[in-house]
Amino acid sequence: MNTERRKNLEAELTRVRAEVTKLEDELQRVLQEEQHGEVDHLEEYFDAVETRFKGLREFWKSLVAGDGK
Amino acid sequence: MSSVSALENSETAANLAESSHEGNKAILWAMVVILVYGLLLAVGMIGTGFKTAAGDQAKTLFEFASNPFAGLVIGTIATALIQSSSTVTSIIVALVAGGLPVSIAIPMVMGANIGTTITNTLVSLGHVRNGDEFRRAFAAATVHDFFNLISVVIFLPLEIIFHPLEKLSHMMIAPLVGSENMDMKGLNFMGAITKPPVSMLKDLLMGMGSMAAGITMAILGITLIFVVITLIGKLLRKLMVGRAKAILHTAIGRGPLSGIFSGTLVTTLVQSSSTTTSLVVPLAGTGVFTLKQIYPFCLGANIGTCITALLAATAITGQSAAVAMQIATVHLIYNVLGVIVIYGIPFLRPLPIHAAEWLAAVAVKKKIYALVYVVGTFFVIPACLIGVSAAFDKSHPKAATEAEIPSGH
Repeated sequence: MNTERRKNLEAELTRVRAEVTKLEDELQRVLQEEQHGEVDHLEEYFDAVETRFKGLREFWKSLVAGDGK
Repeated sequence: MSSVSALENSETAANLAESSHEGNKAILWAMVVILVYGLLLAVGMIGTGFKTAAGDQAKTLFEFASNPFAGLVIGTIATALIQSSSTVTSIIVALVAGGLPVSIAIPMVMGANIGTTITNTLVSLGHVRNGDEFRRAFAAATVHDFFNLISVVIFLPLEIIFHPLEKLSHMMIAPLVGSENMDMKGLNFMGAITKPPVSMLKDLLMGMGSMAAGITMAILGITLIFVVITLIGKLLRKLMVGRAKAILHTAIGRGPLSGIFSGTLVTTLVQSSSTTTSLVVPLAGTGVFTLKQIYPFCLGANIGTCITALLAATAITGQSAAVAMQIATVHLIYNVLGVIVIYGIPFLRPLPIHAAEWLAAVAVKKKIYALVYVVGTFFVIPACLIGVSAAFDKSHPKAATEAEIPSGH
């Protein structure tokens, strides 16, 4: 009886592990799709270097407004 | 019939638009070529100007930087103020060609690596309104800072004691040098096209006296180098966005080595590490790219940015060409070794990530710490280091002289 229960548990564990691996692969695929999507809009990020002073201004405003705690 | 003619019209319009686009691209590329020539001219002007003004006294003129920490700080602050390591390393190449000893220039190159990281850190501050986004963006920016700081902590003491960068670069340059006196014969191809205008300008200015002429040439050169590198960066960003996309698409899902290669390639294409390390800040901010994925890309940017100094070195002619190429090679070796050592050694690899994550968590809780970090790292600590090293030099003049690295040739 115990042997059968152990076998069932082992089989269930194998199934769950396979399912987890499948989900991890699926998540990886979705993540990579999202990354390709972001890279497709690289034009929007390519000039980020030009926004450094704007970034500093935004930060300063936020700091002065007391958002910085 | 009318629909056929409309179709023909739209095809003609599309063809016209495409050929006009290609025409625009050709103009932009022509401008890049002219600007690269301007960069080479500027490097030649600074080198010749410095040599004309300082004569044999170049080493004495930079005596204040013979303390390696002073050199490091000069490189850091100059790059943080100009916000372009390509500009500063190109100027260093020109100064070495003008007589600045390679041993004094090496810590300056290391400092330029630290100083350039301020740009993407400033970019990350723009994400301040959204807590999680700011944490991710600030960590993505500062991982590059911490890597470069650790690199200096490892390599500067080694350089002071054993001079590995100076020796290795000398060994690498030696086969390219025609004879024992380091006169580069094979690498003067660029210098040949820049020497005539530089000599002409020197002759024109010599009426002012050699000191004034030299200083004027150097100032004109520095201004020109700053303008051309800024414009080259803007143009290449326009021209290379498609290529950069293709490189990044290829790198996705292929692991850290691919990240390093893609960072190197994109930076080489746009000739600016600030552009590549800044573009990953918003990408990390969205949460789509993890810090672990961004990190190798930034390391590649460190390697890719060396192309500008190497290009600048080709502008130097005569005996100085070898030392100019040597300091440009030092920049490359230093950045490649940095990646091999810090990323290659398992216990060192995660240190920049841990430090960046910790700092980002602190900065999200109290944003003033982000400002304290920027001002402290790039200005206050370097300024204090200068003060301490100056005081040390005054009280131990002999020790400071001994700290000078003997020439590798």
